[in-house]
Amino acid sequence: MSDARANILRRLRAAPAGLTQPYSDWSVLRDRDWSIDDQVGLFRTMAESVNARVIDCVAPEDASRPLPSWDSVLAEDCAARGVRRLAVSAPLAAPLQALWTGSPNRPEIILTADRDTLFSVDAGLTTARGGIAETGSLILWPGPTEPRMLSLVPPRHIALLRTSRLHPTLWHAMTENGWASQMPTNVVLVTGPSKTSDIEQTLVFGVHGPKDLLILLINDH
Amino acid sequence: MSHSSAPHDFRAGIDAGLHDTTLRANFRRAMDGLMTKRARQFEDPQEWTRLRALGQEIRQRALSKLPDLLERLEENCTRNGIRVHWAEDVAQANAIILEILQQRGITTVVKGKSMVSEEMHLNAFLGGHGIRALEADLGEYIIQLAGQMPCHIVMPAIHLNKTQIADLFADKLGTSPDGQDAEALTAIAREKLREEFRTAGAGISGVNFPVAETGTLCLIENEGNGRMVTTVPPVHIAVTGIEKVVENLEDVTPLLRLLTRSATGQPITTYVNMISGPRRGADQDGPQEVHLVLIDFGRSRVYADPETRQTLQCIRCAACMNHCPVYVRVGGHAYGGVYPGPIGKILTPQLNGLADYPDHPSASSLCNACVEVCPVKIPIAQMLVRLRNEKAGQGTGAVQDAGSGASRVEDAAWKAWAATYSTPLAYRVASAALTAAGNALPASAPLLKAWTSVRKKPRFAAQSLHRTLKEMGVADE
Repeated sequence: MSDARANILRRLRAAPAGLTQPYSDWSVLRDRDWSIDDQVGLFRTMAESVNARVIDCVAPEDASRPLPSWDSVLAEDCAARGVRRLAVSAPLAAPLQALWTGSPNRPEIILTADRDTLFSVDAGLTTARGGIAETGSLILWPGPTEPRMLSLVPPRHIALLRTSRLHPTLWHAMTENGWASQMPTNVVLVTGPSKTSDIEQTLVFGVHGPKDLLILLINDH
Repeated sequence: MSHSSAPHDFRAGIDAGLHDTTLRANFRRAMDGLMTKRARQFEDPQEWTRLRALGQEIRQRALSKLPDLLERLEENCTRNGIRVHWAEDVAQANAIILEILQQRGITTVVKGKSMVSEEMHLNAFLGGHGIRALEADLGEYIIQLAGQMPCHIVMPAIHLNKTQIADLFADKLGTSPDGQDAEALTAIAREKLREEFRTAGAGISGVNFPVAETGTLCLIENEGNGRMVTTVPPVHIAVTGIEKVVENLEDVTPLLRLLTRSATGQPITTYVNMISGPRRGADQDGPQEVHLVLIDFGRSRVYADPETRQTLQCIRCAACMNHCPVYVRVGGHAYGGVYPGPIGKILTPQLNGLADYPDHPSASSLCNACVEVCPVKIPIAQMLVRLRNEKAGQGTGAVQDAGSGASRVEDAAWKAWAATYSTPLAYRVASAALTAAGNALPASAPLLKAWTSVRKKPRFAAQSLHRTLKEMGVADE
C-alpha cells in the first residue's frame, strides 16, 4: 500500500498553492473575563441545560462552607436511586471505603477494570481533571487509575469536579495546561448524559452511554 | 470509477420526493427544527462573523499544507502506536479493512457513524466476506434495518417518522408496533446494541478532526456509540478523508464550536473523544490496536484546482442542506450519492464525475442560503456555476468528465443570446418580434415544453420595459 501513499502525496504536491491566511484573530475564543464565581454559575447552568445533575458539596475535611461532604451526598443519591453496586476510580476507593465504614446501607464499592463487571454495575464514579464553564463539560482523563469504560458503560455516571479546576472554554483548558505536549491515549469531554434526537428530532436521554450524569461539584475555589 | 453505470436519474428522484407527502412533512418538520436551533446559537452576528472567519482560515491553512500535514499526522500517529494506512480508491480501502479483520479472525464489527464508510459501501463489502457490520448510531441502525441509505449526513433517518420506525422494528426485531414513542424505540435499540458492543471483535469509526500536531483523532457524538466502538472492542479502525486533517490541537476548538452549533444547534455535543493511540503502559482498558485508514477517493483531484479545493474545507455540519429550499422538498435520497443537499451537489460530481451526476450542479436556484450558513465559508453557489461551466465544456477542464454535458443546441442558444444582447439593432429587432409574436408561440413548442409542463407559459407584455421607461421619461444611458 506504500504506492497509494506515494501517489496521493505526489498528486497533492503537484497542485498549485491555494488560498490561505498566515495568521488568524483568535480573540473570539480567547477573550473571556469571567470571575471564578461567574464560571461556576455558568458551568451549572450549561450542564443542567442538558440534563446533568449538579450538586454543590465540599471535601470531607472542609468545614469552611455550609455544604455537605461529597461522600454523604453520594451515599444519599445512591440510596435514592437504587444504586447497589458502585464501580469506582482507584484513587477514590480507599478514601470512600474509610468514609463509609460502619455506615449502614452504603452501596458495594467495586474496584475493577473488567469489562463484563463494568457492564453489570449500577453506576461508575470517576474524577474529572477539569471542567469547561462555557459548555458545562467535564474533562475526563482516563488512564492507569481510571478505566475508560468506567464513565461509559454503567447506566449512571457520577463525577467529582473541583470548582478550582474550571476553565472558561476548551481553548483555555487546552492551551493553559499544554495538552498538545502530553496527550494521553484518551481524553473525553462529557456534557450531560448520552442523548439522541434521531427519531423525529425528539430528545431522548440514555442511548448507548449513561442515562444519568451526576456532577458532585466540590467547592474549593 | 465513473461510467460504470447509467448516470444518476435525479429527475426521477425529485418526482418521487415531491409527491411523497409523508416524506415532505417529515423533512419540513425536521429542517424547521434544525434551523431554529441553529439560529439560537448564532444570535450575535459579530461573534458569528469572527468565528466563521477563523474556521475558514484554519481549514484553508490546513489545506494549503495538506501533504506536509498528512506526513506529520502519520508520523505522530505512528509514534502514538496508531497504524496508518493509505487508500487511493474504495477497493484499496475495503481490502485494508478486510485484511485487518480476517488476520485476527474477527467476524462481527460495530460501527460508529462514518460518511466515508458509506462511500466505501463497507457494510455490504464486509457482509459479502462473511463479516457482520452493525451500525450503532441510532439513525444509522434504523436505516440499516430498513436497507436504505442515509438521507441526511447528521440525521440519517430523519425521513422516517416514529410510526414507520415502530413498524420497521416490529418487522425486523419482533417488537410490538403499537404505542412506541421515541423513548421506547430508543430503549429497544439500546438493549439490542449493548450486547453487540460488549462482544464485537472490532469497532469502526469515522474521524471529525485528525490532528497532525499530536496524532490525535477527534470524534464527536451525542449517543455514546462512538465511545463504545472506540473503547470496548480490542481493535479500533478509524477511516477518514485525507482532506480532514487540521494542523494544531487548538485548531479543533473553533471548528468544534462551529460544527456542533451549525449541525444541531448545540453549544457542544455530549461526547468529544480525543483518541491518541491504543492502550499504553499501565492503561487499564481501551483497544489493543488502533488503525487509521486515510482515503483519497478523488479528493486529490478536487485539490488540484485552487477554486474547487474550497469544497474540501467542509466539516460536514449539514447546515447547507437544512437551509436548502430544494433539499427540504425533494429529500436526501433524490440526490443518489452519499452526500445530499448543496454540499453533495458540488462534492458528488467532483468525486464521482459529472457524467454520472449530470444534474447535480443544476439542481439549485443559486439562492445562496447555503453560502450564508456555511461555517467555513465555502462559496457553494460559485462552485455550482463553475461546475455548470465545466459540464458545458466552458471551464478549465479540471473537473472529472468536464464537457460531458456539452450541447450544441445550448451552446448555440447562448451564443445567439450573447450576440443579441451585445448588438443594439439585433436586440431591438428580437424584442420587437417577441413582443408582437411571442404570445402566439404554443406552450407545446419543442424547447418550451419542459418548462410549461409544470408551469404556466409567461405572457409577453404589450410593449418592452425599455419603451415603457422611455415613455415615463426615464433617461436612457
